[in-house]
Amino acid sequence: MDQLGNFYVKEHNKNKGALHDRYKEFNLATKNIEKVLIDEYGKGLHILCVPERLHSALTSYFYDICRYKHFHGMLDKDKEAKINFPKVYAYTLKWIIKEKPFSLIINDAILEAFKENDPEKFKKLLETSNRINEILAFFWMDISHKSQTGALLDFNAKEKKSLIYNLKFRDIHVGMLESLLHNKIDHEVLKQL
Amino acid sequence: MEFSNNLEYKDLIKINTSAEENNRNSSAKYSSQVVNNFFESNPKNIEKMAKNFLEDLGVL
Repeated sequence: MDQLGNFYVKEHNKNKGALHDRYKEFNLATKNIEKVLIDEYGKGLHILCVPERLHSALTSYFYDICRYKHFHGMLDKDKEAKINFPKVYAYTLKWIIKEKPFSLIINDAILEAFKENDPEKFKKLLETSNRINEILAFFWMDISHKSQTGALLDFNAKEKKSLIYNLKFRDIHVGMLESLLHNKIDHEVLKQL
Repeated sequence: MEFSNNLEYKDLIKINTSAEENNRNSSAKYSSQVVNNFFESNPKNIEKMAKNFLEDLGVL
């Protein structure tokens, strides 16, 4: 096996715990968003996760990071080298959005009822269903950042909507996303950690 | 080669290295364990954050 292959195997074994924890993070983020949606729209909806796709997204994330570290020779210098927050977020978002592991399943009867009686809610529900992967990935990122640093990312409501729209409908390069997120992090807070 | 601001190549290397170190120092803190603990210890808080988040997006 070549050097990079050996490196993947080592990294994979090392990241098993982290992979499991990342599953848990997405599970908890999904449950919370689902609960709020049920409170608002009623019990006829739920979020479905395709575990193979989530697994593929998360392992792809770790392999991307692995390649990045290998390319920069980071592990040769420091065995515990970790990448910065914007990279963690940007690469995770990239793969979740690519693999689309989540779907919002809405009961037909509820959808028909909203269509008849509340067209505004009907429209919102369809939009949410259409962007559920982007919404969940963004929420996961926000909560992760809050838990690590005590502060949310510096996005206002308009910017959040705009980013979710762009994640859904535009091809955003992971480097551009990282650069954008870099500007939304309070680096003074990071220095104090 | 001459640099307009009197810096030499070796100074630029130093600047890059220190930027890289800062980057790594700040990045070394990401821990899934911290995120999971946060989720589990503040369930009501997270629910409230989810609500605010969806309100911001105009979903609610």
